[in-house]
Amino acid sequence: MTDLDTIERALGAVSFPDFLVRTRPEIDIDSLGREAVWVSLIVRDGPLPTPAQLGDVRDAVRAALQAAGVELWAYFRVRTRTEDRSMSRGRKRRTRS
Amino acid sequence: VTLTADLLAQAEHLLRVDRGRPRQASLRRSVSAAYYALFHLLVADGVAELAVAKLPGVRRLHCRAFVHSEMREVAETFARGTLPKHVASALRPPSAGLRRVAEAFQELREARHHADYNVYRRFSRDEASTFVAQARVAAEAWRRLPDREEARSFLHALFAWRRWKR
Repeated sequence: MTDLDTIERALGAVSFPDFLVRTRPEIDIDSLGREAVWVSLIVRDGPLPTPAQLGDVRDAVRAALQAAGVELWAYFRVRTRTEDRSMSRGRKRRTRS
Repeated sequence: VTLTADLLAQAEHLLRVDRGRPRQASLRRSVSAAYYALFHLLVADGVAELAVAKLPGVRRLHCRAFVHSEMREVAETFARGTLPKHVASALRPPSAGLRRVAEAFQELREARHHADYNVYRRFSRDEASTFVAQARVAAEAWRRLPDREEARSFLHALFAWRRWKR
């Protein structure tokens, strides 16, 4: 079993490009019923990074997880900072109601 | 190939179809179409590779013989770059280009699952658009893979992976 701290430490040691504001990993079960890690890539507002730039970030995350001994498959979600805030507020509202 | 192009165009249209806040239904269908664009490209190439193109009846049957979950299993294995022993003895390790295509397939498959079935999962427009872009880039990368022998081997793996384990 992989703990989230290990993953956060691994990602914290990576030097990411400037467009990436932060990463937010979560461990959950994927559609095959296996434990996996979802990494939200929160990017700065404005034009989205290119697929090639995001591909490099994915590679860096996978390499860091592998180096830390994390064997879970990593999935990615990309959101701008504003979108992420907006969706987090929506989530809180839905939770309260 | 036309179906792939049409599905990608549809996925992009759905990203923009709503003014202001996009409807989740539009974004979900967009993500799903992006996955199916790549899926149908691989299936079409797989059927052609299986050399049944001139047998229309068999071709139709083969189109339906590809199994999503099996294809996903193959994609993850190739994306990780480490093939199981019984396969590694027959195939070279996947190139970086093929690994990227396989990774896209695996990620899009999971996203499509949530888009179609998980009502608690919300998509943002930018998030959905990155999946659509990922599908478009993967489809282009697939067509441009320089090592066609590797690409053809991957298609056979997509079709017969679980039987290879016997």
